[in-house]
Amino acid sequence: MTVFDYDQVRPSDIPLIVASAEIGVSILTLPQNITKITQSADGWMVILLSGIVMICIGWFTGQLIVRYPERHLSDIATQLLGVWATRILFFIYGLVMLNYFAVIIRLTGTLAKMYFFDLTPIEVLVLIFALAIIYCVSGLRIAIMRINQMFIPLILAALAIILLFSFEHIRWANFGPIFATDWRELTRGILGTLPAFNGGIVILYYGFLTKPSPLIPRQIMYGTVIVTAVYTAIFICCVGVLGLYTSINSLFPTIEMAKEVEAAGGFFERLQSILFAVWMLAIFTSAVFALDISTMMMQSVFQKMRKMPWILLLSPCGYFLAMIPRNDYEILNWSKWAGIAMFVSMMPLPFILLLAHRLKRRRATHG
Amino acid sequence: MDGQSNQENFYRGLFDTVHQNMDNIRKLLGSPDDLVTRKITIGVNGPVCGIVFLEELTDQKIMNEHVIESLQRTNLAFSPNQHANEILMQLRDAVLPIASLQNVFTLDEVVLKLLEGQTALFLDGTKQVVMLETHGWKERGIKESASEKVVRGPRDGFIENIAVNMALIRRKLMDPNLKTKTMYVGKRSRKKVAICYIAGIAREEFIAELDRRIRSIVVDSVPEAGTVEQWIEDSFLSPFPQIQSTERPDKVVSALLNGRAAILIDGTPFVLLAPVTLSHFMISAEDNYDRWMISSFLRLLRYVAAFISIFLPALYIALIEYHHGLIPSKLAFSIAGTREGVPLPAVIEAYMMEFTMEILREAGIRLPAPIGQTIGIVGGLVIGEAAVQAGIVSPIMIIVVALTAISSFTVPSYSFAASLRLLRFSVMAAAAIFGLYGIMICFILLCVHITNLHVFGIPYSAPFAPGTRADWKSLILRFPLTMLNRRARLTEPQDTIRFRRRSNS
Repeated sequence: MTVFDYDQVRPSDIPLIVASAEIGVSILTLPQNITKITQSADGWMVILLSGIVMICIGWFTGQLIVRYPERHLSDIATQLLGVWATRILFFIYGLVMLNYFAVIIRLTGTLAKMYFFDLTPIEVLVLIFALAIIYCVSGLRIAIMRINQMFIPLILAALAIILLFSFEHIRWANFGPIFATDWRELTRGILGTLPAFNGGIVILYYGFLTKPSPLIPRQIMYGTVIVTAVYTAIFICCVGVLGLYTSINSLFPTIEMAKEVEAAGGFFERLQSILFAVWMLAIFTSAVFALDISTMMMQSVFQKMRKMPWILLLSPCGYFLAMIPRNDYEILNWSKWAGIAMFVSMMPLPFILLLAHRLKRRRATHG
Repeated sequence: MDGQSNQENFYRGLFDTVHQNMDNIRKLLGSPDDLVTRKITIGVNGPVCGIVFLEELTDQKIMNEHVIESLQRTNLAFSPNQHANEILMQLRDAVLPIASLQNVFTLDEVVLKLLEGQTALFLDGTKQVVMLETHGWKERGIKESASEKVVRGPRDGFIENIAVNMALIRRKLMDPNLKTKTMYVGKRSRKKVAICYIAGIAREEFIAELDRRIRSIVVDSVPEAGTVEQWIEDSFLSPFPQIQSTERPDKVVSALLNGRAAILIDGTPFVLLAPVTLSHFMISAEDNYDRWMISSFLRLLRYVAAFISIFLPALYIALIEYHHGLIPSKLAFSIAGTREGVPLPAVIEAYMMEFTMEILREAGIRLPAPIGQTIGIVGGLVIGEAAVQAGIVSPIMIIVVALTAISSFTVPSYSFAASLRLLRFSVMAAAAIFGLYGIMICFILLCVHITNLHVFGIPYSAPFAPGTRADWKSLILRFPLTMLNRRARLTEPQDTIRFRRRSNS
C-alpha cells in the first residue's frame, strides 16, 4: 500500500520533461542540417524561428491538456473525433513511433561503433541499448517522466561545459556574411529544423499524468525556450569553431566541434567522449518515449492486449527494422524522414482536437 | 500544544481532583508504559495525594526514599477544614526533602516538566500542582556510536535498552507531541517495538501504514532491527536499503522533526527511520552542526565519492582495455609505462584487487580492533607493495582500488555503502564487456531502477526527481540554517513551516 501521493507530474516539473523530450537525436546533426539548407551562418535565425513556432504548438498542446485534465489522449480523441478515426490515427502513430524508435537505436549503435568500438558487431550494441529501453518502458509511466527529470540537468551541465570550453576556439570571422539568406531558404530551413523539436509534442500523450493546473501551457513553453537556447548556442559554437564548410560536410558536426575543444590546458583533449555519454542519456529518453508511445497507441487501438505483451511484440519489430539500413548515408536519410513523418503526422493533432472541441462546444450551445 | 490535531481526547486544563488529573495526563501522553500515576495517603490519617511521573526519566531512589517515604511517614496533622492549597504549601515547606520544586498552574507546564523527568504532586480540591525535581536516567553504557562517528556533535549513541533509547530521544526532543506506539513482535520471544513520531508533523496515514506493516510481521523472534527492516521494506529485489538505520539519537530527532518516523526495537542499538530516499543516505548528522559552506562542500564531496566508489574501477577497465584514445596522451604514456610487464588484462587485475580489498575489509571487521588495524596495514601496504613488486598488478591499479575503498567509507550509511560496493562489481563486468558504452548503460539502468522504486509511495529518486524544489535547499548543498524555514516536503508533513521568517521590509 502506498501512503504518499507521487503519482502525478507537477506543473513545475513540466519544463524539464519537455526539454528532455525535445533534446534528442538531432543535437548532433542539427548544425549540418541547417547549414546545408541556408549555406550561411544565418542558421541561428532558423533555430530561433522554429523555436517560436514550436513554442506556439506547445501552447496549444497545453490548452488541450488544460481542457481535458487527467484524461488519456485516446479518450479525448474518441470523444472528439469518433472511435474509428481515432483508431486509424493512433494505429498510424503507433507505427510512426515504432519507426522512430528503430531509427534512434540504430543511430546509437552506429555512433557507438564509430567512436568506441570498431570490432563489436552493431547488432549487439543496438541490442544492449534496446534492452535497457525495454526495461525502462516496462516500468511505471510516471518513472519515465522522472528519468527525464534526472537526466536533463546532467545533459545541460555537460553541454554547458563543452560550450564554455569551445568559446575560446570560436573564430568570429566564420560568421560572415550575416543576413545573407532569403526568406525561401529560411522557410525551408525552418521546415527542416522543426522535426528537431518533435519531442515537444510528447507531453500531449502524458497529459493524463499531469496534475491539473492552468500553468501547464506556460510550463510547456518554458521547456521549449530552454531547448531553443541550447540549440542556438550549439549552432553558434559549431559554426564558430568549425567554420561553415566543415559544418556542412561533416556527418556529426557537434562531435567534430567537441573534438576541437581542449580543457585544462590541453590535458583533457577528448571532450567528445563526454558529449557522447551525454548524448546517450538524451537519446535514451527519446527512445523510451518513442517505444512507450508506440505501445500506448497500440494498446488504445487493440484494447484487449496489455502493456507487457505489446512491448515484447513491438520491440523486436523495432529491432529488426533498425537493422535494415546498410550504410551511414541511408541511416541519416532515414532518420531525417522519420523525423519529418513524426512531425507531419503528430503536430497537427492538438490543433485538430482543439478545433473539434470548439466545434462541439459551439454545436452544444447552439443546438 | 500547537499543532495538535483536533481529535484530541483530553482536556487542556487542570481539574481539582487527583483522579481526573491523572486520567487526563494519561490520555494526553497517549498512555505510555513509562507513565506512573500513584495515589498516596499522607501521614497516618491525612488526605490522599497523587503523584505522576515518567518512570524511566526519574531516579527511583529519590522517588522511593525522598518522595513516597516522606509523604507516608510525615507526622504533620491536618485539620479537616484545611484548604488543599494550604496542605500543599505545608508539604512543600515541611515534608518533602527535595531541593528544587515549583508550583505550576497549567497542564502545559505540568506535562513539559514531566517530560523533563520531574514528578507532579496533585491534591484533591486544588488546581495547583507541585512539581518535584526527581530526574535521573540510566546513563551507564551510553557510548559513542561505532558506525557513525562525527567530529562535531553529540557523542551519545543508542544502546540495547529500548527504554533508555526512548529516554535519549525524549531528552533531545521535549515535545509533548512526541508520541510512541508500542507493540510486541515475535511469536515465541516477544520483543518490544515502538513507533515514535511527532503528532502534528508526521502524516497519520503513514503512521497507520507503518503500524500495519509492523503488525504483519510473523517471525519467531526479532534478534535485530534488520529483521524488521527486511519485513516491512517495499521491494526485496532492489540492491538499495529502503529503511535507514542509525545509532545516533540526534539523527533520529532531526528525522522526527521532518515528519519521518523512528522504529525502536528492544535489544539493538540500531533505530530504524522511515520513509527514506536516496538523498537521506548521503546526509551525515554533522551537516546541521557545521556552518553551511563547509557542510555543503562535504556533502558535495560525498556525492562525488559515491560516484567514484561505483564507477572508478569500471572506468579504469574501460579506458585501459578499450579506449586508450580517451586518456589524455601524457597520462596515457605514464600509465602505459607502469603497466609494462603486467601479464594480466585490466579486467582480471581489477577484479583480483577489488576482491582482495573486500577480503581485507571483511577480515578487519572480524578481528579485535588493534589486530584489525594491523590487517589493514598488512593488506594495504604489504600485499599492495608486494603485488606491484612482483609485477602482477600496476601501481595505477593500487591507486584505483585504494581510492575506491576510501571513497566508499565517506558514505555515512553503512548499508548504503555496502550496496554501492555490490553495484561496483556489476558495473565492472559491464565495462569489461562493453567499455564506456557498458558503463553508460549501467548508469541508465541504475537510474531507471531508482525512479521505479517506491518507498511507502515516495519515489526513491525524490527530491531529485520529482523535484520538490523546497527540499533542494538541503540536498547537495545545505543552505544557511536561517533559510531552511520549511520542513522537508518529501514526507508531506502536516505542519510544513519550521519557523516564520519575519519580513522587516
